[in-house]
Amino acid sequence: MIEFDSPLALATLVVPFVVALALLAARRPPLASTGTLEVWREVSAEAAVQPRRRGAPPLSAWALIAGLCAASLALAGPRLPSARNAPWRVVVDRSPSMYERDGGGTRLDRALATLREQVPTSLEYVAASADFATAAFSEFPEEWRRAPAGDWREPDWSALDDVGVLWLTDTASRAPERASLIAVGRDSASSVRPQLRRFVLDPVLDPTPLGRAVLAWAEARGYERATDARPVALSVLLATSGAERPMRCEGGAWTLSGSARRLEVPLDAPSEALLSTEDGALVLARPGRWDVGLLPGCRLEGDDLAFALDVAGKLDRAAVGYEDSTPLSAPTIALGSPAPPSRPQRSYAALLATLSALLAGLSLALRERGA
Amino acid sequence: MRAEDGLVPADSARVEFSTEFHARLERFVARARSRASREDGRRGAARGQGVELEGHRPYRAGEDLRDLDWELLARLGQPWVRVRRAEQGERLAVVLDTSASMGVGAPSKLQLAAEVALALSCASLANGGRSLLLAHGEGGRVENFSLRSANARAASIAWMEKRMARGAGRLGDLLSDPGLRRAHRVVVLGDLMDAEPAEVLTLAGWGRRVEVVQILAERELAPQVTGGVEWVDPEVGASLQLAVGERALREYGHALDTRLERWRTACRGRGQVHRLARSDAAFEDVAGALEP
Repeated sequence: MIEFDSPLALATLVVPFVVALALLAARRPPLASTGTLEVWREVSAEAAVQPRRRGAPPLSAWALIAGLCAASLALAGPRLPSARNAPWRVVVDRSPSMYERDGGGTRLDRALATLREQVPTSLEYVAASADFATAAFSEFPEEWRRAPAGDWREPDWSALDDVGVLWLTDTASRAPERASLIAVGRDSASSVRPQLRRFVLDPVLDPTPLGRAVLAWAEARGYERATDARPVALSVLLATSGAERPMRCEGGAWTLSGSARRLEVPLDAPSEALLSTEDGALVLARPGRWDVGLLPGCRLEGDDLAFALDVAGKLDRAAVGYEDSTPLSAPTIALGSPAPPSRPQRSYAALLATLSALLAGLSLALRERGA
Repeated sequence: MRAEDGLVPADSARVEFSTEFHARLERFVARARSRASREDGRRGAARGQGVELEGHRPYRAGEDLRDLDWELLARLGQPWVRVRRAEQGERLAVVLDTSASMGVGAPSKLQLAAEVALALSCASLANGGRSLLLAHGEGGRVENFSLRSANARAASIAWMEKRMARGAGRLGDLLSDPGLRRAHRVVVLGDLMDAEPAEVLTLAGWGRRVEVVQILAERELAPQVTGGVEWVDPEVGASLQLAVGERALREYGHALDTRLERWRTACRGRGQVHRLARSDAAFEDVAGALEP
């Protein structure tokens, strides 16, 4: 299918059409009513006069019309569609995690919806696993929406990091350098950003069991306590509002008791209660931040080490990449350049303009010769 | 202009009488009356008054005083005028071809025919005669108007103004009207290109005079076209595209003359009158050439 740089210019095709109509009308002889038509018939029958043939417009007129058509097409700038719209190659991650239903539909469904919203151009789809890839499909195969049988693992993204390639995944083990990325999932962006190994701990919490556990975890993981305003991976802050209440929280080998503020669950970001009682959360985690309701003075009874390990596990899972990470339901989109054109962009406007000029000249020449 | 139904409308299908025409008609009628009086006078002087005299009637204001019977005036003290044979008995019938081809020309052939018809009938009325006008009307049926008195003149003009050049009404339908059998004089006005002389001349004889006026438009009598032209018959829509050159025009003129000559010869052979008129001629000239 031919495409045009200026489709509106095609409206100028009406000009040769009008010219053709005018020429045809001009070729039609004038009408004259008469009561002596029979006399004229008699004359015509005697071959004194030849019945006039209703001739088509002369060659020069046709050449002129063709030239005008060519000029109109040249104005519109025709070209082959492949010259501009090379398709993106979408590499679909079909590993099991893509079929997790943690945000309404599978992650693949959400990723596809995001893809179609963000990249409404022509696409071709390839499903890839760690060591193989399927053939390309011009339409997304609907059966890919169901979890595949067999051992599908996260693709080897390093082999797929190229211009015009778009990764469709829920998480990627590395950030693309040349490829584009649409990732929708729980950990979607965590692993594709540089880790910020800095944290903030509310000094008030330092002497508390939780504060001590955080400091121990940070030391073990190599996290640096921030002393300036630069971004951090995690901020652990004591809640400053909320009604105080007595609390008692039990772990497997430890018991925490004292008083705590009632924490309000934020509505605008995913959150998770890291420590909680039946009466509500004691520590509420959300991306990049812990809100702590435990007030200084609470006591830890039982195994201190078990408590620290429990807290460290939660920190390991949640703290990484929370800083400026995306909410669970939002996609990560990093679109680079589309695929380079498969062949150089080629316009036929110049060719048509030349043809138009040639036809105009031909029309003049034919007219001179009376054709 | 090309009509949507494929037919080419004639140049003017209607009959219209201008104010100037009415004035010219009055003058024509007055001259006709005056001439008739003079001729009657000459005939009376030559043959004696008693030959043409049929009777008397009371004088009407404005009448030619030469018609006044002075003897009766002296004897009775009342003005009476002589009634001649023509006044008493001339029955004129005018057959008007209103087929679509009569709309050709500027002015149209029908316009001239209508003017001539009115002039003849009004002149006849002024001379004491009466007229029957015949033409095709709505739906191709034959319509007539009888002009017997001066009071009916306006109505006759209105009747004539309703004539339109349309359809392909057959002249034979008009010629077979029984009213024509009672006429002393029948004037046939039309282009008569699709009629035969014999068809018209059957009316002649038995004291009935037939006068044929063949009216053609300028483009029919002397076409001034060269190059391509599409001739269209407005009656049936038939057309013929021709490349017309000088030779074709000569051949056309010859063929047309042949047809007209057939009419002239046929009428002359039967002692009847044939006239050829161009549609842009003055009605006075055409009617004057017919007026007895």
